[in-house]
Amino acid sequence: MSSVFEDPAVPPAGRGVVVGLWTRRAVLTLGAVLPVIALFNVLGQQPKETTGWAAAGSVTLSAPATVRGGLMFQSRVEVTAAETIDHPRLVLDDGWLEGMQISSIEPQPAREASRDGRVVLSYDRLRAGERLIVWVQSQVDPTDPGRRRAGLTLQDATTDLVRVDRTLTILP
Amino acid sequence: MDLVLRTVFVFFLILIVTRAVGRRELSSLEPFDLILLVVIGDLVQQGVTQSDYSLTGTTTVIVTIALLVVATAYLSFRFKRLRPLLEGEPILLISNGEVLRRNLRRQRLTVQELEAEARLQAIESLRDVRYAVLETNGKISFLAASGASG
Repeated sequence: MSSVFEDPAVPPAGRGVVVGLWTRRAVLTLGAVLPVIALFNVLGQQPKETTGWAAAGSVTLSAPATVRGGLMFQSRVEVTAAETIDHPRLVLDDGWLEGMQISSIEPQPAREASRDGRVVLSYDRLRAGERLIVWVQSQVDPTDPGRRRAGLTLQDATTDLVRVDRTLTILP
Repeated sequence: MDLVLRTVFVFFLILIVTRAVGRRELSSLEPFDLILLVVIGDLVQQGVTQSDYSLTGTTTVIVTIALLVVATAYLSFRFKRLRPLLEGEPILLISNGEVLRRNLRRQRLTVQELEAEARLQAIESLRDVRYAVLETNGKISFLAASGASG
């Protein structure tokens, strides 16, 4: 019979038992950090708003700065024209599409093109005071984690008007 | 954030559901019990992780569940009053050799099922049993009457 049963009055608190207990407690305490930081949105999905201004208008990007593989999320681009923009174009950084599945872009652009490796979405004329809101629904490719530039530039034809910088972190 | 909140919600939902359906489903795997367990397992995954395929998400959910299990076990250990709520209480099914049919009925157990459980523990007849207790984990423990074998 095992020595544990030999003298029930003496608790089996050998070094191994104590070390095992404290290791277990340490692992649990360390593990508790993860849900806590998740509660503070460090692990992604919560949208963050970034706004860029210029004389011609403003651009507000509302999208998560951190996402996890497989997640579906929404990016919202709001353009408010202070002056008339004849040929409004949204030039997206590569992080918008690299390792992403784009479910939909609404409203759909009148034209899509590529300029120097960046996707350009062209919309109809925006008069002073008008707003253009574009919703992009995406899903993260789970096999492609990393950090990417996911900002955008508002252009009038080929002239840069407003720049919004953003980095997107994709957690594994 | 929502991942942790969904995990906490589902953990307590399952706790409530398993406490509500009764403990016989916990230990047995009859066809209907199997349906309950399999369907819960599948739906829980969809509800908690949704479209999340990431290791970060999986680790967060596993750690959250582990912490909730430890926390509820500690609360149950530390506060006696919480024990019936979190774990339930043992239920006497046979007392002094007499089958308590009312308790069996409450747990949706038949005498035949009780006899089957007794046979699994090498007890030939319920007449040989002094006490049978439905434990909180859904298993039935038998205490043989003095002089009875098995």
